[in-house]
Parts: sequence; structure tokens; C-alpha cells
Amino acid sequence: MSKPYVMPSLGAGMEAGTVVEWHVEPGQKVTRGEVVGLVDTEKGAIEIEIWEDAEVEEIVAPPGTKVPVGEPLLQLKEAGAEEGDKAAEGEETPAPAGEPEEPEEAEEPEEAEEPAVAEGDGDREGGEEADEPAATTSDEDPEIVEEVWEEEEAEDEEEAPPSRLAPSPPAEGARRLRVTPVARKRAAELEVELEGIQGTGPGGAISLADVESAAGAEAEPRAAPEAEPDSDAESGADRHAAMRKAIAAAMTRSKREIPHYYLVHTTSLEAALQWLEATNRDRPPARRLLLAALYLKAVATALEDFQEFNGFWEDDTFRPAEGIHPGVAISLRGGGLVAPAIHDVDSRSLDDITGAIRDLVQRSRAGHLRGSEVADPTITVTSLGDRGVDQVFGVIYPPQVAIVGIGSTVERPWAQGGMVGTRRVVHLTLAADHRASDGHRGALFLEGVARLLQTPEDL
Amino acid sequence: MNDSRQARVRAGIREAFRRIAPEVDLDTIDPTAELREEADLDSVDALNLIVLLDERLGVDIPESDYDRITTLEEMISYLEARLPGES
Repeated sequence: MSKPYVMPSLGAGMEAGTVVEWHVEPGQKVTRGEVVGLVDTEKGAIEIEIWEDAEVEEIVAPPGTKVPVGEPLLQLKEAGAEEGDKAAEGEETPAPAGEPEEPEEAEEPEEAEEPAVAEGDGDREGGEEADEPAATTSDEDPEIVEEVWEEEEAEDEEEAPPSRLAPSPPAEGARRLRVTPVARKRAAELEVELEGIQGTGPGGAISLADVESAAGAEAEPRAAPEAEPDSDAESGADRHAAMRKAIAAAMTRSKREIPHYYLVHTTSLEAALQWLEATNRDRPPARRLLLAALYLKAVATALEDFQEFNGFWEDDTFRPAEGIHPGVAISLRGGGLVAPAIHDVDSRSLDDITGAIRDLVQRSRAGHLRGSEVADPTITVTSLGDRGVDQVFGVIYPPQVAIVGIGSTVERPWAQGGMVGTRRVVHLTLAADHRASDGHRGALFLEGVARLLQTPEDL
Repeated sequence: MNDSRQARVRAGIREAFRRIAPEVDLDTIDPTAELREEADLDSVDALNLIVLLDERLGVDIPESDYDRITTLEEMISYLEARLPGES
């Protein structure tokens, strides 16, 4: 049976996306969870995944085509009953045709994907894969792993030997270059030094076209074999403007529609930091934990008892999410931000979460995010603490109903048991949708997060 | 100090930066200024940097030494002193 694979909705407000490239061709078999192509959206270039085993019959939308959400991208032939390996997967049944349009259904295939990401990352970073809990690899799909590994290997191959990097030409322009994620990715692929490129985007941002013309000028022998993406669709200026516009639309809608309330809770971080310092002391860099992983795990664990903060406000009602997938706000150096999801944080280890954060940050900045990551965060966690501010009160990303803010770790006088000493403390904040929850519950939730941080060994 | 060791360290740092923050031009960074501020690195970038330096140069920088490598200049001399192998 033949059916279309349609442009997925990669978050509220998305109307259309432009096909950048396909990783598949007609006649090719694809596996559930596999990344089949790259789509350009206002959130940057997003890798899109397929939700069932099938065979590609036809590419309906060639690279460069702008396709509305829900319109066909590919024509698929459903995997036939003779597919032996599908039976081996046990409970896996072909997904209904409508599924790609339902981002909240995306969490299942993601489980199959996470180990691949973690291992790919480990491959690159060295030694990290030993860290990943075996539990998550149970439904691992060997084909996905292979796919990701190939990608990572390709990246490594393109890595220039150190000697080639040493004599970098001094830059003439600004020290901090503005560069779009796709341009950055392309520059890495083509081994073009971004410093030397004159950006033509807004504020001098370097666009994909700039990178490619610079690569052409340098006559790089290592030009990537893949097809050149359509440069009109890829214009850095357009992308930057589109991302700004998407942020503007979402934040305006948020402040117009969502009655926010705000809470702040200050808590000692001594226990968490001392535990973290002791744990990381004996670990090589690739296995060290991030404080951010403790925060995410504490938030996700607390959410198990406070479901009214984990979900969506839609059609005048609150719909709790099925999994706990916090979106992590990541600022892009070229401007703008993304908040891709880390899936099922409540049931993952700190090692695993740290690996996921590191991977996500690197991929966000390189423009490698996947559709399921951008489409289905169930709450957002933002940490401007790294930028030195004490507290951050977030604006909720609709249709989510809460955003947790993590401030800097600061040393403060702290009274306890009638004595004043100094402690390293953090300001945790909550901005929540008053339609979905009340301040009383919000206060208990924040207090729950703070309490979990006091026993980091249990996280 | 030995020029080739320093060249290896500089190349290693440059390569690490190409991975985590390719838009940063190390040549124009003030070597005595706070590197994380200069290069706009957050804590995740910082860990990724330490991992890459370990991988490329074989120098495992313990967390307790992070405050000894806050500037580019400090980082270069710290790594140069600990670089394994022949110079």
C-alpha cells in the first residue's frame, strides 16, 4: 500500500518548511526513527524522521521546494508482511498515516534513537559510550546506529589535521562573527574558515551562500559530495529574519494569551556542588557530569508529582503530556534561540542526561536538530545563570504552561540554625500559566525541585 | 619555551574551538581576558572544550584546575607544561 509522508509540524505556528536535502532515494528502505532528510524552518534546519518501516517510492518534493505542513514530501510504500526483521521488533506495529503530524506521539521512536546519538557522541568525544546505561539500548535499531555513525565518521574524516589549522589567517572583521547554523555546518563540511568570510546577511551575518562562495573561491579539493542545497531557500538573511519572526510571534502570543504568574525560590547548592565535585574528581573529562543535568533531573522528577506544569494548554483546556520532555533553551551565537527537548528525563541517568545536553548544544549550534526534538518539549528549562544573572523569569512557550528558570550559582550569606555562614546558592524561578495551575501548587513544585537538589546522590 | 610544543598546543586549542565555537577567531582574542566571556562559552561549551583538549592533546584538566585556565594565555602555558611526549 502506498501513502504520503507529509511535512511534519515542528512546533506551534509552523506553516511550511523548505526541503534542503534528502538522505534517501526512490527504492530505498527506511526504518522507523530514521532521519530521512533536512528541512529548513524558522527554527533552523531540522532533520526529519520517519515513523514507520517503509520503502521510498517517490520523492514528491525535491530540494528547494517549500511545502506546507501536512502536504506530501515523499510517497512511501508500506513495508510488506515479508519483512522479517519487523517481527523481531515485537510490539512494533506500523504507525497510522496521521502520526507524523502529531508531534506528541514522537516520543516512542526517540527511545530507539537516543542510544545512537549517545554512542555517536561517544565515538566523537572518546570513551563516553561506556557510560551509557544498557537499559536504553534494548530497543536500539542497528540501522539507525549505523546511519548516525556514518555521519559522525564523515565529520571526523573532514576534520583537518592540526597542521592545516595552525596557520589561520588573521580576521579583518569583528571578532564575534554572526553566522547561521546551516552556514556553520556547511563551513565545517567544506573546511572553510568562517573568520575570513564577509557576511552578507543582516548585521553582517554569514549565510550559507557566503560560505559556499568562499569555498568556491578557495577551490577546496574536499568539496562535499552531496547536492548543493538551493541557495535561495538557504539565505542566511531570510533564516535570521524568519527565526526572529517566529520568536516574536510565539512570545507575543504568550504574553497576550497566557496569564503568567511568577515564583522564586532560593536554595543552597552546597550539597549538589560538593557531590558533583567529588564525583567529577575521579572522572576523565568525557565522563564528567554537568550541573545542568542535576537541574534537569530534579525538575523532571518533581514534575512526576506536579503534572499540571508538564503539558499543553489547547482549546481552553489543559492536556497533560504523556512523557516528561523538558526543552532546554540554547542560545545560538548567530542570534536567536532554540529549546529542543531531551526525552524522558525523569527515567534517565545523570550520565545519560549530560551526554544528551552536550550533544544537543553541539547539534543546535551546528544546525543538526531533529524534528521530534523541536516539536515536542513539554516544559522549558532556561538557564541564564551562565551569563551571570541571579534570576531569570521566563516567558512561556505556548502551548506549554510553564518555564523553569535557573540563575547563577552565587555565594551569599546564609542563615541556618541561628548561625550565619556563606553558602553557594541558586535562585530557581517558575513562570507558569495561571489557567493551568495555581501559585500554591507552583510553590510546592519549586520547593520539590529545591529539595531534590539537596540529595544529588539520589537523582 | 619550546616553540613546537607551543605550536601543538595552539593547534589543539584552535581545533577544539573550531568544533565548539567556529566563529571565534582566537587570533583576535585578548589573551589576558576571561576566555569564557571573550568567546561567549557557556558551561556546556566549556566542558566540551575540556573534553576536546583531552582528546587532541592528551591533557586531562581536572575540574579543580579550571580556575587556573581562565584566560587563553593561562590555558596555553598550562597545556604546554603538561603536554605528554617528546617536544
